[in-house]
Amino acid sequence: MTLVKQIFGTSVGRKQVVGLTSLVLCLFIVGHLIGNYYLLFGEAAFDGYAQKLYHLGYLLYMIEIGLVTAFVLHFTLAMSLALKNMSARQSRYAVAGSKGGATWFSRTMAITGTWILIFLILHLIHFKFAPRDHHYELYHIVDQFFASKAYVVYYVISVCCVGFHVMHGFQSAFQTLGIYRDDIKPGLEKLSVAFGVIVAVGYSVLPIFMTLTEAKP
Amino acid sequence: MSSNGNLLQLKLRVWRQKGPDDAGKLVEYQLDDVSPDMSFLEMLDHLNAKLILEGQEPIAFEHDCREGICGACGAVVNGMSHGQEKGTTLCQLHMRKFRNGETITIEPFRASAFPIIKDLVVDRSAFDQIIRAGGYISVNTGNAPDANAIPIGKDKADLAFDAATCIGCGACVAACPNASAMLFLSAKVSQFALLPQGRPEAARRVKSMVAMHDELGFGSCTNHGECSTACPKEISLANIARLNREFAKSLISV
Repeated sequence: MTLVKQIFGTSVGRKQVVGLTSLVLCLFIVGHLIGNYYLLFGEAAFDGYAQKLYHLGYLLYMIEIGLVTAFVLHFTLAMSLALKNMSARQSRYAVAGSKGGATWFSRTMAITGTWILIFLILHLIHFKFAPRDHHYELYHIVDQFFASKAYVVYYVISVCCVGFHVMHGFQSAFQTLGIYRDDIKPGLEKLSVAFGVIVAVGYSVLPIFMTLTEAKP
Repeated sequence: MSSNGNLLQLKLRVWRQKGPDDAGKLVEYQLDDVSPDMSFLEMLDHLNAKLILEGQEPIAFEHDCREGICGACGAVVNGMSHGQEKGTTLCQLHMRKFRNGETITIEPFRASAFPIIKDLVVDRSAFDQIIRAGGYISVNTGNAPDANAIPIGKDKADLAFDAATCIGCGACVAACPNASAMLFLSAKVSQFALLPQGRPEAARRVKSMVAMHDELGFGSCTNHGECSTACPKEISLANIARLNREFAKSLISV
């Protein structure tokens, strides 16, 4: 069996690619969140940050290609595993019970993941590919987008989905990559939940803050 | 509902399926004289004795040692593999753990890789196929080797022993939301991977056992952890992490 077949043809191999790409995407989520906080310092600071990113040139393109590759691999392999898992039990139990283990977050990974895919595509359309005169006049676009209360609600729900997804996904990636022991389990679980909360709250705060500050005369 | 002395009155909803091709359904039975001292299987024996006297087909279920060590018994009771007690096989679950008047739903382990043969009996030969794919070590015939020729640290020996306590009952598959056999597979890989005798074939073993696991139609592990809490031998999730490490190592081994 070739190496490619070993990785992409087995459930464990595919899972490990999903785990590795998830850590890359987690790094991106943290970087994006830090960048977003330039919004708090006003238009000049945020557009200046956007301009710096834009002037990275080919490095930026390489990062973008890497992220798109990571996301496509992550989503397609995770969904292929989810479909296989659905066919692994074709008759359902009459009574649903549990002795512990699974959480609401772990059971909804495919749902939150699909929502995140849709959110990501719309997010790119709304911000990255929005019509504009210069590449870095982002503040105005963001400001206009969050002027709509409906968009704020949609955005907060979406980033909460990202938070819920990483609450299980972050710790799960470590287990899948073999970085796990019984003694580090409680700490890893707490870290994963904390990361999910930071992502959900961290991203939600900005549009809520912008809406509240705009509402004042 | 009143109790007759200490006896329990129970309503049982049991999965009845005449054969592999039958659709199957839950059938209700009322038992009014269940001793709290009975094991779960003794309670089923008691029900079967009544069914036979009434000229009905008794409920088919698997059992052997009835001491919690053979892995033959198993059913899903109120949605939980081997019932609600942790670290307990169905034969070691006692009726004192149930309330008088309770309704108990008893279903077979459900997984595409464990087809139902009859009532609560499922075909778990898929586990045998996984073992045949690599769950062994190759040894030369001849005199038994000296037991102390290869020193093994107690920490490793304990972990290997813990993994080897898996009785292959299939509760992990039944409890897993994905019907994955990864806990069973990881225990079988770990018990050899941890010991020097298992190392020479470690890479080949993990590759072929994982391939067989997938081929048999088990789902993949998404780290819910339901398997470990349902396991009557409380096999740790750390074994699945070890399997993942062994698999990654096998990819770079020649």
